[in-house]
Amino acid sequence: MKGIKLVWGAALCLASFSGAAWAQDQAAELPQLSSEYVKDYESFKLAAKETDVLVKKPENTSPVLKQPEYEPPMFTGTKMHQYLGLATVGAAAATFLTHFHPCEGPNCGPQAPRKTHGTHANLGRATAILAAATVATGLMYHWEDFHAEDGISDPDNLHVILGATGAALMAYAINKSARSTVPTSHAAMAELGALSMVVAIKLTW
Amino acid sequence: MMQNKFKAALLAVGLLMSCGAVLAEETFTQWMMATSREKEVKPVDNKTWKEECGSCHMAYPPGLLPSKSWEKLLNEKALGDHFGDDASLDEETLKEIRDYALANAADKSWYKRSRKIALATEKGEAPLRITEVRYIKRKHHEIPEKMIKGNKDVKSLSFCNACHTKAEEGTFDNDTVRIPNYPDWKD
Repeated sequence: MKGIKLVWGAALCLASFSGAAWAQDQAAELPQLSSEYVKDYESFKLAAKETDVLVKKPENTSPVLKQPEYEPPMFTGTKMHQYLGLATVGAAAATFLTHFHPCEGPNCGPQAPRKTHGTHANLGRATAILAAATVATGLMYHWEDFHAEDGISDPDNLHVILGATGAALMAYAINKSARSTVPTSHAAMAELGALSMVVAIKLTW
Repeated sequence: MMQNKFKAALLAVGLLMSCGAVLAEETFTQWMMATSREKEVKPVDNKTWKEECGSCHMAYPPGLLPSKSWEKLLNEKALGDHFGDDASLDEETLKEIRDYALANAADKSWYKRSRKIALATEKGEAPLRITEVRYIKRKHHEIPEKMIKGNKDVKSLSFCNACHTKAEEGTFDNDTVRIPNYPDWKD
């Protein structure tokens, strides 16, 4: 029990580190309203015959337009995959924190039926949905990064294998316990699935 | 129940250890616990490298080629004819640049894109150009010629920063690509 809690502790630390790193990411910066208005600013200036947008080059070469500072889009398919993956790990951690251990042993009295729609169960379902969405967006936006011929040591291939396995393990654990009113042994599968996803994220972080 | 948890913990540890073995020789723990993002290529952080290499072309991050390539490129003879130009350096500068390249080459880096380059160049001859790396070629093979060679503001794949707007920061992902004169192009 202590062992699995230690592993979970390590996984949670990793997830929180990921969060700290993510906070440094420029992606979350909102675009300025003015930049939305003047996306094609150079064209406006050229149309107005303002020559300062042209870089002075030797006479035998053609002028080149100055590239304005490029701000990557705030929301892309790739970023959606990234956010969903982090949300899955967060939801898995919340599911773990809300778990309840029923009394086991001869001294336990009659047990109340297991809640199939309590906080833990609902968070588990949300985790499975998020994991499925993460896998789906990964397949959609990163399919070109997966090349079987590069072998298992390729970080992207390993990311796919561990991510998909993690999602499948979590889905299996949730399916096993979702409708059961008596305690089921599903925690190990779910925890292993979540850990597998954390490692998958770290490999390509 | 307990037995299952023990098995799960064992599997988890095995999983972590196998990833480490797969990935590289040293400091797996350091890399695993690193908080910074290491998804791309380590940006250039050497002043001499930036000044000397950057005076003629983009100061390519050393993580874009393996050490066997830098060994071939960064010696007196090779720099005397550096793709048709004389790029000779004094002994001290050459040593600094060479040491920097070898310490940060793709096969020495934990950055994801560098690891992929290292794997792609593991076997066979050392590529002398970044554009000869199988992984780099594959990443660009869908881009029509007219957008590169036929594009007056790009001309060659060698000018990474013509399209990769964050190349100086070591970032080469799709989200930061803007091909001059083809603003609507999407991979």
